[in-house]
Amino acid sequence: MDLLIARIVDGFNNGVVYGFLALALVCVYRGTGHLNLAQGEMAMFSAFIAYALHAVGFPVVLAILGAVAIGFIAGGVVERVLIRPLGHGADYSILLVTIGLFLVLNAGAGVIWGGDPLTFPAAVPSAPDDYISFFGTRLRYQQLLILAVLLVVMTALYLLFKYTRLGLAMRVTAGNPDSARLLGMRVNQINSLGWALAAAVGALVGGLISPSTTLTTGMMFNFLIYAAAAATLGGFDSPGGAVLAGIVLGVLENLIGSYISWVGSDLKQAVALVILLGVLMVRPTGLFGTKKVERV
Amino acid sequence: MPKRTPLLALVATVTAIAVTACGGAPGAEEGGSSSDNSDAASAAAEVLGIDLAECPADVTDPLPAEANVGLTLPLTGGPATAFAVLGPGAEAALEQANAEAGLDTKFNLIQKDDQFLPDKTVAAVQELIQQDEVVAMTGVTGTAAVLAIRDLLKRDCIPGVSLPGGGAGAADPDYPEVVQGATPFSLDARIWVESVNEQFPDGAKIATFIGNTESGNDYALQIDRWLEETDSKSEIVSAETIEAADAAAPSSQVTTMRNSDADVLFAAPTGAQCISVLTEAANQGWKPVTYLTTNCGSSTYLGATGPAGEGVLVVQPFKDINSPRFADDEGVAEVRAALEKYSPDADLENTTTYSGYTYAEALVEAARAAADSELGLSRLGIIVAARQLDFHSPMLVDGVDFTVDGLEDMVPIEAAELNAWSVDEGGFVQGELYDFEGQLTEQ
Repeated sequence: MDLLIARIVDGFNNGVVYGFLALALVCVYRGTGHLNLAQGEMAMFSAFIAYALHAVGFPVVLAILGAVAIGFIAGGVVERVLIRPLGHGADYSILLVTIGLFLVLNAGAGVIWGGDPLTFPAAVPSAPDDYISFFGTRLRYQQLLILAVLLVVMTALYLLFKYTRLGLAMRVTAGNPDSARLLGMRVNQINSLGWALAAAVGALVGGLISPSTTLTTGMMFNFLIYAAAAATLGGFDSPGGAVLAGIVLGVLENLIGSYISWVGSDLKQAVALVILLGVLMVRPTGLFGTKKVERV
Repeated sequence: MPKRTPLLALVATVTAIAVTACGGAPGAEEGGSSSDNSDAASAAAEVLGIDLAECPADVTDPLPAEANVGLTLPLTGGPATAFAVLGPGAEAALEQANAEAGLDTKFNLIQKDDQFLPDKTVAAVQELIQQDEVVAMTGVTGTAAVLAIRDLLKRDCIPGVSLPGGGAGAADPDYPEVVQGATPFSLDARIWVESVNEQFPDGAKIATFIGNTESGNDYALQIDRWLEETDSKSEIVSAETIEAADAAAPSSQVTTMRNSDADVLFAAPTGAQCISVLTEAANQGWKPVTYLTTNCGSSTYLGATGPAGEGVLVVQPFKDINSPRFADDEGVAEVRAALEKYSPDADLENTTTYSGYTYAEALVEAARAAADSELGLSRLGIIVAARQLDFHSPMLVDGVDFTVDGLEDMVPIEAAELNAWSVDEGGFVQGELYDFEGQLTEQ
């Protein structure tokens, strides 16, 4: 029983990270209708910025918050400089730009910070004895912190999108920018805000998980695959759905990988994608996504 | 696998070469002749299983006054930040040879980007052979890359001297043109098993945590091989793997290994995973006797693990430039001076720079030996000389030499220290030297 709980907790911890990054993908999609494939690399780059801020003397928490602030601004700048000139309907072009951004950020981080893994301290005590025991499993303060921050951010985003005028404007802008513009909404600024919010959320993820992954230029690549799967599974316009799907993916892939011997660690990733495929065949908008209705 | 070259044939061929070299071969004219050289070349090639008729005709020609040497490495993409520094290191060794070795040929290093992807390595090596007419390759890194290009080298009879792939495929008697450059995984596994056999004479439960890569597969095979060949009483009770790109802490794998009650961990993951598996084990309160792949055996990695790295054992044939133990080492200082002089842009604080130097240094040693041999400084001369290399690089720890012997001993580095990481020392504490010279080649 203890082992089962340990495996659920292991999967849950991974799932929280998938869900957190998925939240960033949802932010961009919800705010602009675009998929940002560079989201993971933006988070990685922000984590390196947090590392640099810490290296010059900022406490860990301030370094992460500083990186979040820089990420927020950089996200807005990326939208203004790289995305906006392409026009709102240029989905494929925007997708290609995000791939280019992915490559530039990955290589750029390597040039600036080198190829060796770097360590970034946790914001809470993280010595081997810093944990809460739960049915024989160690719940580490760092993992609990990530979960708590995720819940706060998810709730804040949910409230923003659901109950504020700004959130409503973002939804309208993402769904039909032309109508939004006719209604007098400042579509460009709203798009910028969507990218900025996503980059800030990504920066938070990067800073929080880097103590356990170590800082490398490849630290977010795999997470992005799972995050994209989680966002698709949960619904690209549903913050709560994306987070829940991330957690479900994390737990299921770990349980299946652990208890079905021929799957093991080798095919865990395939498990996540099979689950994704299965759900999409039944419900193409994801478990919690909104069906898109077009006026004819 | 059957032996490919009987010892008798080796002795006969060496004798033939020696007789020819002394000008005493039947029918030989005084001072030798092209016929003698041809005979010697054929004999030397035959010993290595090379059919000269299958090689380009110029394989026995003396190298020109200037010749190109090829090196493929990631110059773009993620791995570039880790491996691009190989180039300046190799450059220094070749420039030093050009200035000091007194060879008739000056070597020019040509580097091509392969992004650390084997298919791109193949394309780059083809270009190097066909367009740049390289006379040798050096420093091509990674078991998968070496496996990908060894047929090209064999087809055109191009020596690949000191190619740092740790897998058995880089020391395969079917490919005499390829001389391994890195610490072989077979040495890691051999020393790990020997140490476990010593520490646990009644047997230990072993967990393995290995990257799901070409190198990882080789590690798994070598561990099985040596557990079996040493009649070890130890057994593998948990075999976990990890994908190369997986950056998440390997919590589920560690949970499984911990639950297996393993006393010992053999860990051969990739890059930063070396750090995360140690920290995750510590976080879960699991403290097995841990052996970590030599690929992660540097202060850069162990230093990043904090207390989790305490006592972790690593096989180390090479000196770690960042370790306090080698801060004033003469050999390291010698190589650093060469790097400063002949490759001013080289990153002197990066271990990989020194690796690049060491790989090309083996090629220079082979060229030097070839020039002194009957075959002269030709491609075949380098291939033959490289298969008889026996020298001590300044970057190897005392007691470890770069030694090969024809097809009988294909693995150059077969001895190493097993050192434990000390958090207090901020470096590795010198441990026992294990020497398996001549024992690791798979026949």
